[in-house]
Amino acid sequence: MGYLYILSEGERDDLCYDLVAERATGRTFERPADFRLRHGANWKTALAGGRLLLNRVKHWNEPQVVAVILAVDNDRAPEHPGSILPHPRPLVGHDLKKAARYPAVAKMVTDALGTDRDARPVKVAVAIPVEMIESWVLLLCDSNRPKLPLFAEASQASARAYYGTQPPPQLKDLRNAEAEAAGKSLDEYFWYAAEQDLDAVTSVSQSFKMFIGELKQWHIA
Amino acid sequence: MITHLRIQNFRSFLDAEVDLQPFSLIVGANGSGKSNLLKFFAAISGAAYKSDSHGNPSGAVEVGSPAVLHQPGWVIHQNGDQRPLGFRLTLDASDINGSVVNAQGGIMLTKALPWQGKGLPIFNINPDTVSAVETTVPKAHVKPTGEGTAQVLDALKNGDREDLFDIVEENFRRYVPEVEKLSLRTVENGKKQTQVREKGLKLPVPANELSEGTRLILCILTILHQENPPPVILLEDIDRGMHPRLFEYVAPLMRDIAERNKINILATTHNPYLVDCFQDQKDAVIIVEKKDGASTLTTLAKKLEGLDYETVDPEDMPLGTLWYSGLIGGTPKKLSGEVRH
Repeated sequence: MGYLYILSEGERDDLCYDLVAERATGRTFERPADFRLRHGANWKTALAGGRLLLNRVKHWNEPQVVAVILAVDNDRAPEHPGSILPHPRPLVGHDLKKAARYPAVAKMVTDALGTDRDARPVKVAVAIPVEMIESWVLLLCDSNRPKLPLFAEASQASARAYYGTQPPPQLKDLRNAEAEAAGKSLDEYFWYAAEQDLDAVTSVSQSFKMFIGELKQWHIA
Repeated sequence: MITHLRIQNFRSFLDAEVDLQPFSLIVGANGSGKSNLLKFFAAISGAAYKSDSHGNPSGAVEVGSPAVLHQPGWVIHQNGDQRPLGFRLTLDASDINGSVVNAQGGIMLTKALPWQGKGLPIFNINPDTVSAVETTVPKAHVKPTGEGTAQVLDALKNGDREDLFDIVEENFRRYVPEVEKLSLRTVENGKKQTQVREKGLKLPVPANELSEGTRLILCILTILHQENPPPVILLEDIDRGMHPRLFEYVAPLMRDIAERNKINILATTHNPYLVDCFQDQKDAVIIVEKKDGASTLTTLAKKLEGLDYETVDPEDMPLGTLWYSGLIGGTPKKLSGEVRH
């Protein structure tokens, strides 16, 4: 048994990350506390929250394993190793100004805990789905699907600007439709996704492959 | 002014202590015990002090309403134990201890409380009530909802305490600079409403047309400057109905009122924007949390120890956002259960 702390944007995300972590590591974890980012929080807030969470747990000297998942959506930011950029058409508005997220989180973790993963007092896995957790959930439910859209909802102004016309269903639209068609609540849909074949998704999603790789590097006996 | 508090065996508190500031903001999840902290002050406020001719405590005095002490003066913990209520207040650098000495809620005090049996209401101010038309009475006080504000102001203005009315008006002008004059208008025979003359306006503005924050400020000033004001002002949900932009203004105002008058103001909130206003007063935010079924009290400053908060830019993680995140506690448990098939 170990303690797992997840910093994410919502309970549904936690649900998915928790089960994926259990399955990838073959371990079950206690979840003594939840840490949450406010919806719409600045990306830098997520980075600061991750830093404070690591600060908090790294001094605990728990006899048990202490593990942390830092989860932030990529949201069309550049330079993620799993990113599907360059996009077929240029992004618009503030999407063009976004800084790279994965390198910033990785640097923050290294600054806080050092470069030697095995020597770290805390096991850390960085989950930065391209472009958001719904992408991973949709792929977990069907890894053979065609290329996924980039935006959360077709009704978003940024999606309309990107497509230049009424966008096709985007990630949350697809999630909602597929969950409804399956007769599942969104919680149930996320849970169902986390129960599916993880390896099948690592072969089609670089960002998911990196996350699973980091989980497996925890080497929890 | 109370600078330290220890509560034992009152409602959800088994044994909790914390330092208090002139204005303390109380945050925590629903059901954590925030309101119980206010109820503690209200409960003990009825206790009087009995002394013998040498000034030594001479006996227990029953508080006004034993029912508020929960199981007449006793807490029943979840393990079934009955434990007597006890408390210690550090007030003006000296301690006052209190303990329940009988099952009827009799409390023995080691020293007189400054409010000596007057009672402390818990204010849950409704701005609409503050601005209501009220029947004038010669002796009035502000009630927990803010009812009576116009009555008190009228009694001060037209009784023999115009000096106190002038202080309310002077402070009101200081905190709401648009205000030129505070007065009461007669609506009908024996009924009056507070009104304000604002700079640049020819006609006075009736209180119901003032902003909710302005009405809250007027009510608090009236509570403070009524005859026999409470030395501890207990405010439930201080941000209720208030625009978040006012918080930057109201938080220092409360602090200023409390410091100038050497009183304590304790206010509960769930609003992270209000917590943001305490960047330079981290010891004035009290986080209430349930641990093993019992409420605990910890200052935000204490919670930040070990978190190395200084390693992040405060603009990236304002205090309210930090509280919301759960990294310093005082947040609700999971709302939904896990979905396992």
